[in-house]
Amino acid sequence: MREELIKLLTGICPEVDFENEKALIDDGLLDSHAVLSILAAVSETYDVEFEADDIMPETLNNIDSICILVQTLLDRKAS
Amino acid sequence: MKRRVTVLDYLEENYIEIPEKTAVSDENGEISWGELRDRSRALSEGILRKSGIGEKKIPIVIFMKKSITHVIAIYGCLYSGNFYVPVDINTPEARLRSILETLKDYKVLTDGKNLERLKNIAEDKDILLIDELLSGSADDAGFFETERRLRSITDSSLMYIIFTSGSTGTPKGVAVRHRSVMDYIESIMDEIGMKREDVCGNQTPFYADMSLKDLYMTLASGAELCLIPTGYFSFPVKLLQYMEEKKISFCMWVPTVYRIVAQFKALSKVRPQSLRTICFSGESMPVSVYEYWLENYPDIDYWQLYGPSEITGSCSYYKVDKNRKYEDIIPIGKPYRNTGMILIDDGEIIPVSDTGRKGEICVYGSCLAAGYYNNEEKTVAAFSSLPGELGYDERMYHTGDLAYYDNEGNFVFAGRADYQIKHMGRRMEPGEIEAAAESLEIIDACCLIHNRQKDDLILYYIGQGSSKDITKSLKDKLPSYMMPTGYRQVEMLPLLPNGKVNRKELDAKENGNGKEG
Repeated sequence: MREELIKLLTGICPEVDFENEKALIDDGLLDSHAVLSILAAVSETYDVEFEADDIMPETLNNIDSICILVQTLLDRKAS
Repeated sequence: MKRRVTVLDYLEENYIEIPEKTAVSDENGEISWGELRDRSRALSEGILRKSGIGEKKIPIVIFMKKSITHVIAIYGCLYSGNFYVPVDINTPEARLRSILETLKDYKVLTDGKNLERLKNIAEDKDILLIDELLSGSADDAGFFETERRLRSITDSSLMYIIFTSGSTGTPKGVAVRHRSVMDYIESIMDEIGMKREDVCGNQTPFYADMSLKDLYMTLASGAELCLIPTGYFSFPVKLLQYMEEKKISFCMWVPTVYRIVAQFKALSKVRPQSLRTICFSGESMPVSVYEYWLENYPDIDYWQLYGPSEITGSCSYYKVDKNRKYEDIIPIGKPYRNTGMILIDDGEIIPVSDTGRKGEICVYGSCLAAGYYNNEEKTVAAFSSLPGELGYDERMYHTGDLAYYDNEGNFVFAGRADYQIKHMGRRMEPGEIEAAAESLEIIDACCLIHNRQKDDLILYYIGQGSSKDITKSLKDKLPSYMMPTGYRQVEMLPLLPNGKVNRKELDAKENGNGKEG
């Protein structure tokens, strides 16, 4: 899933190095528009729904935390 | 009562009355009214000492991130007798060049972090570094020079220029005088008011004139201006937690931000306790979003404001009636005292009694901008004389917005004149269709785009409903010729930096990169 997500996110923000950046939000690499676009793409690709507290700076701060978030959403959907 | 001529008179009053009270806070700290006034004067002295502008009054571009320092930069420019031009640090290079070309004779005030971005755009001699200017020591000569410059300001002097996007792609600099801002602030304080103990949670960027009320209502009342970190507006729970922590009581955001909170039902996770007033402006507030907030905050006040940059902030206001069920749209209300607002259709002023008839909103009074800076052609085109033979010069601004009167004499917004669509031979406003769609519970937000090749009306929407459900519900609200002919469900609508829906991006998706229409 990691590689797939990197590909998806790079398609939205080609200038961002999702593989290596550790603080996408804290370092200001993703603005509001980018964040909302990423949420939209993830929601569409994985057919998952976000709840308010899924969307936090720390859950979107790097590719590993995004992977964990997507997995959580998939698990929630399955349960 | 002492007469106030510029916003600095309020700052001097706060300096004497409440020097210790917090004036502005951001994620890194806070500054008191006393410090804010002293630092701003120190900056003015630095500007006057080092910039070599002589007796001229010039535009000073403020090129830095929104922060306490940015607020000091604004007041420092004003104390120095010049006028400020707040510019987005993420402005593309070509646009930034175009802005500087329009200004001609200018200085750019920036900080170390943003200096690099100005390389090859502005000459070194025109760049002022705020840290250097603030590091100079104050002396009597500097103080008196600031005083002398202050005395040279009249209420007809320019206070700021804000650049808006022009339809031709060349940015237009709306130049506004001190008296327009003073008129606006006094009006909005009379109607909506803000108390000294309020904390105003700022969202709108300083390069948009929607932020005038945040900056100067807090100044006029001595309330705290809390600069909410921009990044929090994509994280509804984080935003609400920050509001709770900072005890924010006053919000004046664009509807999109209220919508994001509503869309993810974030108030069920965190409900800030101090909130007492909500204002919205910049675009129409979807009724369903307002209702979500009302459900969570039944006891607070809600205000809708309206006005383009050319009339300084807002020209009309409407206190939302919490006992009334709004069908499609919340009115934009009535003009402030000392502001003239009329509807014109085919060169004729529409009487208030002629409810429902649409016309272009035209505005006159002290609120009018001086014009577009260094652009006489555009100024003449947008600002004309008031209809009728008055025998003196009374200017009026054509907003390009359409509205009609309701039964109570309120103005009701009806879309942009230049977004008018001709579909199946009939003229219509996307705003009207959008308002009807957004009043449905199954739609959170939407944007209607006309596919001109196929003559289709495409509704981009965020929401749970299927196109079948929407069609079924909309049939009760819209005449058949105004019904969308296609639907695109999206998770998010593209947004402009100011938080409004990026209509052009969606239009380009449907129609390629041709002109919107």
